[in-house]
Amino acid sequence: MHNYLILLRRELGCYFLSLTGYVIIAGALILLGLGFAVMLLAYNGDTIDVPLTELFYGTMFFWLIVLVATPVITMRLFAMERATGTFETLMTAPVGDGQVVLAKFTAAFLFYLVMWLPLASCLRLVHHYTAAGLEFDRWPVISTYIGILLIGSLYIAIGCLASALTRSQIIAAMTSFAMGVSLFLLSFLRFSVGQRSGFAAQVATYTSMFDHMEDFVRGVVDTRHIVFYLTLTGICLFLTLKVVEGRRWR
Amino acid sequence: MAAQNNVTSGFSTSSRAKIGLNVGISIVAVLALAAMINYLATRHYKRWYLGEQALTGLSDATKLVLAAVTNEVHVTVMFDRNNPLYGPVMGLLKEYRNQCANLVVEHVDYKRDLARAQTLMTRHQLAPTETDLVIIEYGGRARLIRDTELSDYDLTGALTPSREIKRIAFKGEALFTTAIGGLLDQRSQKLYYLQGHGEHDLASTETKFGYSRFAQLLAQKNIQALPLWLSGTSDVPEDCQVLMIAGPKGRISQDEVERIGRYLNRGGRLLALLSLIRSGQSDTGLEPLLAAWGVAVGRQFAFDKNNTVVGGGIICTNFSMHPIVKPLRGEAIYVVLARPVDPTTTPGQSADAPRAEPLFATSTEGFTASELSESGVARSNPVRDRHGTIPLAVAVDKGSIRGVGADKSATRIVVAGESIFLANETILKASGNLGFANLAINWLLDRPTQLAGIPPRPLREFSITLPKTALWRLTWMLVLVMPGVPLVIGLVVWFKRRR
Repeated sequence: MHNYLILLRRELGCYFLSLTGYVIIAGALILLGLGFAVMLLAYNGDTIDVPLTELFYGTMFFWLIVLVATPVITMRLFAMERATGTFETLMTAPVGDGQVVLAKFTAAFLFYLVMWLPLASCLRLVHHYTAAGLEFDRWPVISTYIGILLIGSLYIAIGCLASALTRSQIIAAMTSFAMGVSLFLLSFLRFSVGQRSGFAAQVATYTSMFDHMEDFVRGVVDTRHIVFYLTLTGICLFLTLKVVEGRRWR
Repeated sequence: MAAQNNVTSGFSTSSRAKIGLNVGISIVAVLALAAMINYLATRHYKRWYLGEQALTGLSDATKLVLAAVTNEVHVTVMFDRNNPLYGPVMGLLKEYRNQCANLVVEHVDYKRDLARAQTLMTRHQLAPTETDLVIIEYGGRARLIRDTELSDYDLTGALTPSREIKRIAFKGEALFTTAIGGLLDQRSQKLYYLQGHGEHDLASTETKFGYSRFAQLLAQKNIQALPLWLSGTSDVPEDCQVLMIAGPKGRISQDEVERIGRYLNRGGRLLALLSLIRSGQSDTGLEPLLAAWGVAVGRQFAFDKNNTVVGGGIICTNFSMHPIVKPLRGEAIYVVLARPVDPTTTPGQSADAPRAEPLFATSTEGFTASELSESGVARSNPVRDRHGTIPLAVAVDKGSIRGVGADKSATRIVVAGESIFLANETILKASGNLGFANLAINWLLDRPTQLAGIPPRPLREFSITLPKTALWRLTWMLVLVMPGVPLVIGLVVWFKRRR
């Protein structure tokens, strides 16, 4: 545990003690701000009966942040260590491979979480300007965060795997982005296969991230979605561990 | 040098193959385990509904109905994505689908998917103006639910300068469950239409006076329309859920009127459409019976100086707060030479007396005319005629508790002073005509078993009304100031570490 905490601190330092981390956050916040600005311009003068979280989710900026930011956050995790030669030093240190993978994943995940924190302020700010007099319903915000964290954990895990496979950060980012986008595009099957009955339709609906996020932004938390993301995250981390371990015997 | 190259790997080829196999098996095992966990998760799951606006879970009544679905129920949501009801409808149907694997939900955006929309319109014989509806199909039968039926409105804002009408509740669950329940139940409801006095024919496709379009509407609602002759000794059948009298030309005999009266007294439902043009400017014989139920049907023609259209018809946009016409706010009903129909209920009467309420009327510039010239020009009689708002349709309710819904034995009557407005051509002339027919039938059929006691879901609305300056200030704050903060912190950190 002690080793894990040391590694975690080291990884967090890479994000928060360099300009790169803050540039990533600023980039994500520009997209976040644009999303809210587009939403305000589109709905100004209208009466709305859906939660603000659902409105923001409907602007596509949400997916843009998830799909673009996660490869950027994770691309350096293993690839940079390999490129600079510090990976061997790390692997020969008295720490387990699992601890290394977990520490890197946790650091990236915490950074991802910090990146999304301003969303709550944005929602509060827009609510203040638009729905004065109405009580701020925090539950859809909480469930939206649950969704963001679950999707984030999966995408970060995919990023870890992609980064572990190569020594080039660019290739790592592109691989992670391609895998993330493929998973995202699978959600579109809901509109074709998902509209039929049978096993294929059930699978298409079950794996549709649109469906999952639609529930979360409306304040619905479903155990199926939680299990789906946690198991996929687990698989990706397990594969990452196997890739890291592979260095010893290949 | 060659010896050095030989010791680059600590594992022999066979050892590496063994380890590789081991890793491969462990990966397959993990994948299988994950698949099993996910399979179990789909079978045993829990959904939590957080916050005021989260869709609440389905009612027990709906779960009971869905549990009885054994074959595929196909739900087509033919909605424009920008319709404010699109989200609630899809959200609710998602809950239905979660509950019932045999439910297939298809969305057709009739603005984008023109071919599919056209197929649906042909199959269900929909008019081009009939869009934004939910079609539920099961076993070759279909029920259609229109968007006007799906909301409850707060009309108090209509009296304010902004004239804002708020949607306060979503009635989707009650309507969808009733529709699915109705389709599962092979017995359909029955509407009898009186014949023998030159009434409109529900089988006739004739443009001006045929009622086949109205019959289609009934078929879409799984209501069986049957002709009824009361001239013999037969009474109104026991299974008659609604009796319709559409534009009789001849006089209905006293004996027949008495039978209709007996039917109403035992909790019957009546849709009476009385046209003075068709009856040759004479009474139909129903007038005394309707008067006893609190409805006075005049023997004049109603006009409206403000809303007359070519052809002598008038456009009515003056709707009351009655549930039948509440959803029609913002729409119009087109009528031709309608009779005035006034509620005559007096204040202070006993609680169980019939309550008559007007449904729609002319504007304040309305007037009646007792006679028409041969060219169709109104001739007013100062003694018999009047000016002002002239009601043209009335709803009577007896035995229901206000705001609770109809009791099984409650009598309900809808009387309109016109019948041609629901004929094949005219029913599609204004958006409100078909809507009125649909909502009037819904109201007349509203019995506790129909809506299964499912309450509407309240909606919480808010509006984004920012002045331009505030909007731009907020936009800049979101797009520039907010991302600027981490950037500044980053620069400070970078600068400090550089030093």
